[in-house]
Amino acid sequence: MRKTKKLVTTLLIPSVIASTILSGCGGNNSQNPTTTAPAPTTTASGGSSDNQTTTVADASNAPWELLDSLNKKEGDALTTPRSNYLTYPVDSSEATQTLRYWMELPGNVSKNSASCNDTEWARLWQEATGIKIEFIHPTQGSAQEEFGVLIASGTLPDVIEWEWTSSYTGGPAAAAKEGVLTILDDYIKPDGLAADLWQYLQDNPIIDREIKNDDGNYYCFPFIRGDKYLQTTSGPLYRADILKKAGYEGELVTIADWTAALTAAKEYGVAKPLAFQDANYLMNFAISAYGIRNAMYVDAETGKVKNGAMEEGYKQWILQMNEWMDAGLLDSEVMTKVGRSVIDSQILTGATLATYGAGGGYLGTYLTTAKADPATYGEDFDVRAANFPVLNKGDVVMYGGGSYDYATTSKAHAVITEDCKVPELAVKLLNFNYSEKGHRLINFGEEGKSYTLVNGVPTYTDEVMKNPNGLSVAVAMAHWGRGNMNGPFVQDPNYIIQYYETEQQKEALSIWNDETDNQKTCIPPVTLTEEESKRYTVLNGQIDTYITEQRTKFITGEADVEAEWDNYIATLKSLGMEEMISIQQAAVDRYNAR
Amino acid sequence: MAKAKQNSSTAAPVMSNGELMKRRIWRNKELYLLVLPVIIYYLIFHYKPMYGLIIAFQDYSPRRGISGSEWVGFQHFTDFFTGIYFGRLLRNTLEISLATLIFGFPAPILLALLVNELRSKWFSRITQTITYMPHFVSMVVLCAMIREFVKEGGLVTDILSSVFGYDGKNLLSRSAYFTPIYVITNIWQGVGWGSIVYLAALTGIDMELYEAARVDGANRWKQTIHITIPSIMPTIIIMLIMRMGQIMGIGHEKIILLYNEGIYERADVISTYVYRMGIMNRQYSFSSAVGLFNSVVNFILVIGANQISKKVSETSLW
Amino acid sequence: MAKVKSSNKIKRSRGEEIFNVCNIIFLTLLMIVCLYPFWYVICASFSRSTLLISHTGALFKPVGFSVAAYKNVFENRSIWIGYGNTIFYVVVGTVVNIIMTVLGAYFLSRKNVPGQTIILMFIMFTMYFSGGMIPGFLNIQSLGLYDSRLALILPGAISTFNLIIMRTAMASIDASMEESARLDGANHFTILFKIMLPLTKATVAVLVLYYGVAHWNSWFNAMIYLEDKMKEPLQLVLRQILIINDMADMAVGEDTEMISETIKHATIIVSTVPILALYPFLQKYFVKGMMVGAVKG
Repeated sequence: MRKTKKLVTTLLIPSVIASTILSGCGGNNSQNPTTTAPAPTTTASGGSSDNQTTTVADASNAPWELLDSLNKKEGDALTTPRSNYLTYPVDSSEATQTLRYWMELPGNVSKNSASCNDTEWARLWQEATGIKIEFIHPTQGSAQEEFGVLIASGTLPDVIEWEWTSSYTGGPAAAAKEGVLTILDDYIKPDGLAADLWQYLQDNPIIDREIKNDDGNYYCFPFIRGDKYLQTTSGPLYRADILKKAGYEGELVTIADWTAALTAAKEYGVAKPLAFQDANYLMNFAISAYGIRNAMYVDAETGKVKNGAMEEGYKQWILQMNEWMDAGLLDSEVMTKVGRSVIDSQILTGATLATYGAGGGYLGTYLTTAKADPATYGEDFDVRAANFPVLNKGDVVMYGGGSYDYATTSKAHAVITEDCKVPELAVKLLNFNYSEKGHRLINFGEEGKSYTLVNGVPTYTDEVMKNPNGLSVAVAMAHWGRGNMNGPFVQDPNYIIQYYETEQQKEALSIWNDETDNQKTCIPPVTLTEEESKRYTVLNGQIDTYITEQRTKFITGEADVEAEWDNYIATLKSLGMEEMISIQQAAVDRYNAR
Repeated sequence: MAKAKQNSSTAAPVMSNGELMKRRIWRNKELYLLVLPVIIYYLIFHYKPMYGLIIAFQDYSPRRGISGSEWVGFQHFTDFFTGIYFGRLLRNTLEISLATLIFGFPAPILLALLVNELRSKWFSRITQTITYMPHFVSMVVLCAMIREFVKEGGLVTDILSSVFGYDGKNLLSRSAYFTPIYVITNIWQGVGWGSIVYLAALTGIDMELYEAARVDGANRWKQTIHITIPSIMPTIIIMLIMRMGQIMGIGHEKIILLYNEGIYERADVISTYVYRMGIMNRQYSFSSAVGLFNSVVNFILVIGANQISKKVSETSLW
Repeated sequence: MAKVKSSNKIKRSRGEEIFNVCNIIFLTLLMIVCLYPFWYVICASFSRSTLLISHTGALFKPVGFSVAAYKNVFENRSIWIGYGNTIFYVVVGTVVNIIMTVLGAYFLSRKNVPGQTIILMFIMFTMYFSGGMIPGFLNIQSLGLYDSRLALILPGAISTFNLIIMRTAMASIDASMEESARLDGANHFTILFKIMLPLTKATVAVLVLYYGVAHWNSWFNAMIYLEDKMKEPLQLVLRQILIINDMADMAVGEDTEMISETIKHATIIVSTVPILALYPFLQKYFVKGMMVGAVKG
């Protein structure tokens, strides 16, 4: 049954994907105020009637005419920003200061520019808003350290993009108390300076729930993955051509399938059939087969919080990895940071059959690189995506990939610090991204230059898709817009459908997102109280170090997992793992009660 | 100085000690001015951080500062001593350090003695030039070279595989090899350079001692034992005391560039732990406590080594 | 040294002959061990990466021949930015070092200066006890030096060890010269600049080298104190490429993934050759410096 389903999807991919995604976009366009606006029908569900009433109540104060409610129901697809309440550019008398803006330098920007200051989108953003920005970036690879230093330094920049729920000791609550961020409730309201963000949240109450803290306050300008297809964009990848030549005809669904496929490749002469750039990629590849996730997750059956490293499945996973490594199927260097470029060259040269990576940067790069030079890489070079492996045929992927719309794991949620002398200006700058005009600009760049509207859909021009200066698509996109990166805006799905140019990439999106039920096992965007968060950070610091270290030893065979398992679990408990789980459980309970 | 002033006020008429002192100070006023920046430097960059160590007894929050942070007494020390890593950190620190001392310390002395025995001036010079060279490779580059050579398929791994039947895995993924790699590469980089001191001491030996020994019929070996080594002994002892001071202060830089989680068991030392806890995990108070423990032990070791040396050989640093 | 040998020449036993031969063989092997890694890296850097990946064991010449890796390295801006910054840190840092060290050493080397012993102890104490990494790090932040180039220059403005070397050198200058200058009415500034510095210039040269090399090699402070990529010294850039395996900056086009293996080797060569090339000319100063250091402080 599985097989037929797979076959069908494979055949239907281009059309299926295009229709689902484009229908979503079509919907978005129809919500554009210029086209037929939904009639203000009488409200049906309780939730939206609440929205309606608040809207009406606040509307009297708003200096602009508010859009009609969309009256969405639970489970409706997300919409894109559609309001243009605030006036941009701001008056020059207002924009007196250059805002100091701290964020990680995205990899795709760094390939062309030393700083975001040099990008087109930064220029466009500043021109459109009339607000000047100076970007400050931490050293790539040391963002965590430098963020700590920044916080400790006493003088903060005006805006910081970061992840606040788990990468800041004490969480948003402590950050607010310590003056690292300001609460935005005074701005995110119908008559506030972030009214456009308010409208977007009004339209998408699911996200409104996700981005607040437990007290119901807004604290950041969030990064929103605005579509289902933006939620799982990495997964297992393999050289389909090599697998075929190696004589493997079966499917790649179960762990056993993979063992057979990797063995066939090894016999065919592939030196390191399975290789990863680092240990996290290794975990992401197959740990889900054992019914667990890396770190904390929500158990699909019981709805309880668990930690992957405590579960029996973890041991089974390690034993399987040991087996693969002993058989020479898994690269023995995997636990030392092998690095991206090494893996790339191994995949390209056929020294490796399979790895884990993103559909864009990895899969796309492989395909375009090979296509550009068929003499070196072979005419039939082909890399394809596989779904996250499962243990038994017929299992649905529950624990691989997935993400909430509010991308809690991305260090991309902008806050305004207490040291900011002109918070109103910063709010206006960030609110712009959630307005209809700003949404387009921040995702796609400049109309006529980097994109044009084709049937209402922003479509990248050759400036991006075939850059005259030889920039790759990803780098050119990142030069013109933030669509393929993280940041305080709503990511537009139209970027990915164009970015994933090849049939293999579109197939990957479908495989990873359509045939899974993985979001419900992710920890939702909870917030911990300051007390909880501090305790959690202390415990997590020790536990995480311990787990990482033990994992490395278990995988490389430095330590025997069978022999040391009980000891390992006992140590985890002594370090407070159970307390940590109960803290997380309490937060999830509170979230569910929101 | 304050004392000097007091004296001068009590005992006035004749040129008292105090008066003399006062004059000497006045005469040297320019000198004090010259040294002022140096004193300020030491105050700001050495003594102020020492004061900063009191955060080891606090729950320090950078935003609140030292004065606003809560006091917790010896909590962080207790946590460290009873934590699961204390034993191995101490063991690794001592193991790596002592191994470096035992194997690394004599190596340059031996090299100096061997070079000293060379009769060809030309060969002696070329030996020195070439053995000094690795010293000029920066730490980052050295570690990059090590990592390249010992990875799976790297030069050293290949050699070990073909000669000793090693299984070919990255040597840095096997904790047992960490100390040897650390020590051997230390010697590789430092043996030539370290020998300079001893070569210098060797040139200072009085030739007549050798003449006299030869007259007594001593061969080269005996001359080495009875004249050469005793003559450079003070240098050796000074160098040894200075090395003792570094036992607990084993450098974190090289280890950070070489280790990985899989071999923390044998590679993680106190200073690298302080780095991870303090800089990476931002547990400033806890890591300061660990660092303070390290500094105190280190201090005791240096003082101890110096005292022992004073007694045994009448050679000391101060 | 030479003298020792010539006077030893008179009579040698058979045992001594054997020893001499063994000694020469041993030292020759040692030289090979010291040199070969460099040769290997050179060969690897000129090799074709596809061939290099599959090559096992020693290299005596490049496998295949390609300068693609060098092309990549030379086109990498961050390496050149790093070079520029390192030159800045070496030059400015060393100047600051020398000024401060000379001032301190001059004071400590004068005779009959009240309070000198206390100040000496005050300074020496820091050699044996320090606040350690974390308080030092927080200190830099509280001084507002974080992400400033000064953070790589000021905290290490004086190496106490070097200060002691300088002091020894100055103390060994004949006091009569100073006395006669004093009688001519010279003040301390004149004595320091006109008499002491010219007479100790060999030691100063040595310290210039010591400090310079320390600045050249330094990366850790830059890693924890700097934020701005444009201020990073070369060694930190190298760490990114060589240790963290981050070659993102290298991937100018998309076909460069192929040569990641050789890029590392080329980077090592490009960053190490200048100092190795300078080194033979500077060797005698270094040797002299070690001798100065060997004398008890």
